[in-house]
Amino acid sequence: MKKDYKYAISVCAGSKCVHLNNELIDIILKEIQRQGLEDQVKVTKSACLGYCEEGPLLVIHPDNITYARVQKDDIAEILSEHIKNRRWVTRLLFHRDQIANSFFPQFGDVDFFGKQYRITLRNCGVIDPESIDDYLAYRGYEALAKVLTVFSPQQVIDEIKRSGLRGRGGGGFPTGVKWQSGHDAVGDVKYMICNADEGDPGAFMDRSAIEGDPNTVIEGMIIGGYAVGASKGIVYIRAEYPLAIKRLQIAIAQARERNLLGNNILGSEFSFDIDLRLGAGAFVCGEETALIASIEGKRGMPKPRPPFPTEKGLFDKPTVINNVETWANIPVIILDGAEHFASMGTEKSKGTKVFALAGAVRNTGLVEVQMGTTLREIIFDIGGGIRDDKAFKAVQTGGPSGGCLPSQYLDTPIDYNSLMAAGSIMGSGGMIVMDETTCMVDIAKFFLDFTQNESCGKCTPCREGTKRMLEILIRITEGAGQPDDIDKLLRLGTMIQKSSLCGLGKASPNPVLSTIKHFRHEYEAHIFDKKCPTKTCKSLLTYTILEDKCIGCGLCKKNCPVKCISGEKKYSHSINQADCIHCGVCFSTCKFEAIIRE
Amino acid sequence: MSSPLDRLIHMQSEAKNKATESKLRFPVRIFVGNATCENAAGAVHVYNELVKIKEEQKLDELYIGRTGCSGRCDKEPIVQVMMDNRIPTKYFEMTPEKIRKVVEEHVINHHVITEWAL
Ligand SMILES: Cc1cc2nc3c(=O)[nH]c(=O)nc-3n(C[C@H](O)[C@H](O)[C@H](O)COP(=O)(O)O)c2cc1C
Ligand code: SF4
Ligand code: SF4
Ligand code: SF4
Ligand code: FES
Repeated sequence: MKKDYKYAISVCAGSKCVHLNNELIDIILKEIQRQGLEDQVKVTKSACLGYCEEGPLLVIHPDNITYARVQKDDIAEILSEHIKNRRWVTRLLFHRDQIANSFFPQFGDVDFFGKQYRITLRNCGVIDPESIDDYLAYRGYEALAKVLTVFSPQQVIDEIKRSGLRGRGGGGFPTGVKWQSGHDAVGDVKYMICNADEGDPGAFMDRSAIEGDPNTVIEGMIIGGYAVGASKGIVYIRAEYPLAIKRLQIAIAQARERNLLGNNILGSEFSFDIDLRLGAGAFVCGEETALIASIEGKRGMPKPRPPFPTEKGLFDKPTVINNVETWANIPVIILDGAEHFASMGTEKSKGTKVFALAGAVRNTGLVEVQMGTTLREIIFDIGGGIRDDKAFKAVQTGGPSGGCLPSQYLDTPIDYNSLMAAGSIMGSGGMIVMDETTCMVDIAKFFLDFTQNESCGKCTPCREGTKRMLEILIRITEGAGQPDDIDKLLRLGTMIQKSSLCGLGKASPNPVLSTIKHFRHEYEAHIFDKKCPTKTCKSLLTYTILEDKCIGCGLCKKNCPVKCISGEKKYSHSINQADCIHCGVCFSTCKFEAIIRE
Repeated sequence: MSSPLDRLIHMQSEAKNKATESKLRFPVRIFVGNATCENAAGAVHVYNELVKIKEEQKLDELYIGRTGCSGRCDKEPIVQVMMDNRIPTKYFEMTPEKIRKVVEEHVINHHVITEWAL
């Protein structure tokens, strides 16, 4: 008979732990008996958990609580406390000293949170974001106090370099290296900027992070200011984020009250303050040189680099500009140590990355995973797979600057380099999952339409080239594609990539190029067969009335906006294809499934 | 002269005392998500309803708080119920009517409504 177990204790049986754990398992089984828990708890084994030096490790499901360095004598307590009294044995909790992932037990909801690891979002959904006391109570501002007390600015920079942190705004530039050039640059005044412009369609990582825990961003910026030698910080945030703005204002005001911002922070020699600047929401203003121009009150247009902002930035002063998520990582790196951060991820990409998971997955939402997690784990484990049991078709990362990857790339580990090699980019964290009903030409058109609109117009390839590409895509989806259109798109795309000034232009062809690379047959179907395989592009659909199914009710005829359906009542109707505008109204009105769409 | 770290540790312990004083001393604590996405899903109504329930039923042992968004966009509004010595429970897609039931079943009768819990 199958027992209805409530808990499973999973014991590591990896090669390093196994010799200790066989004995442990015996003890656990005996103890379960002794406490009369055999109907509730079963014992399973797991593969190496990758923390051999912390072993023996026990994981208790479904709570997903891990206990480390478990000794024989601890078993009775774990069973009685955890299982019977539903209280964690904090003394044995794995990583109990770290702030990364510190609220893990509280998240519950193992399906969604089980494969996540929360560094920048550690407090989101846990603390009250409008109370600095809440943040302080969970080791808030301790990293700042620590660097002011025991680190020299150079030591802070070295720590960030050692962590391997790379910019989360899209470019992936090593943060420590950027800080070093800001530090080394000569200037009486230096600026720290937080880029919260977040303009990718559908992206909301930075908004949620600020709304959930504004103080960690502020703390990161103050630490950066100390490292670089800046006394002024600016958060550039889009005006469409009123709640995030309000929470930043509250956090800044509360930090000033506590002398965490302002003159002689916590009694040290270091002074720093932060102001907000509201952006009007142009996508190009997220580009760092355009952002700086916008703060200076000029038109938000990119400038050629060099000079880099770290040498000549805001008001020509040395300026370090980082993304919201980059800043939010800083306090954790300082408190948990660069080694802990660098222990996560792949060779070239360390730590975690936040994604806004959207589209055709069952669980949409904000996820933070360790670098090196595969796309499959994000989409199928955390995301719960494709909604409505449809088939997976592609995943889009990097928004309008990124690309679409088909199923053979699902096992790609998330990492700046591997995504690039696959033909997409990490980007700032947009991740849109598409199922079999999505038309890849249509998606490419959607993104190109966005970038084309947002091009600032400064350089011709970006301004005119994207317009030309968009025209071609439109005609392909309308059934007027020409045989050499794919080649034309490839040529134009490569030209724009090479000759645009800023990242917006350079990356704008990516959605088109990647869909041509991986879904060329769909373009060909549109162009040569005048068919949209997913039945998305309306102009390419034909509607036909099936003579034997039509009962002549006349409903379609009545509703057709161009009156191109004819037929006598009670006799089969027909569509005059020459006049049909492919609106689909007849198809959805017919109650007898007499109209087919192909 | 105390170091920045000394000062901060002092500040932190005051903050912790405050947290204990204002929240943890309540045996039952309910937190409602409060972010752009949560509010769009109707979290504010759930929060207001809770405040009303607390007053109506004189639930003095209940603390009502707010948090940011934990990331479960499609399941919002999310409400976390924490009770002493019990595993925290998260309820999803809450409405004013459902939260009434949660208070009745979970808080008063100690009975988790599993269909609504994550
Ligand atoms: C068109 C365009 C838009 C951008 N938008 C953003 C943005 O919204 N947020 C952001 O942090 N970085 C954005 N960036 C990247 C910034 O130029 C810059 O690299 C980044 O803020 C640096 O921070 P990081 O090193 O922490 O990533 C954008 C770049 C381009 C070309
Ligand atoms: S590439 Fe496009 S957005 Fe960038 S500067 Fe040139 S025209 Fe402006
Ligand atoms: S609505 Fe359907 S059944 Fe009625 S006339 Fe049109 S095709 Fe025939
Ligand atoms: S698709 Fe529209 S225009 Fe064409 S026959 Fe049907 S209702 Fe008329
Ligand atoms: S063998 Fe147990 S954690 Fe590696």
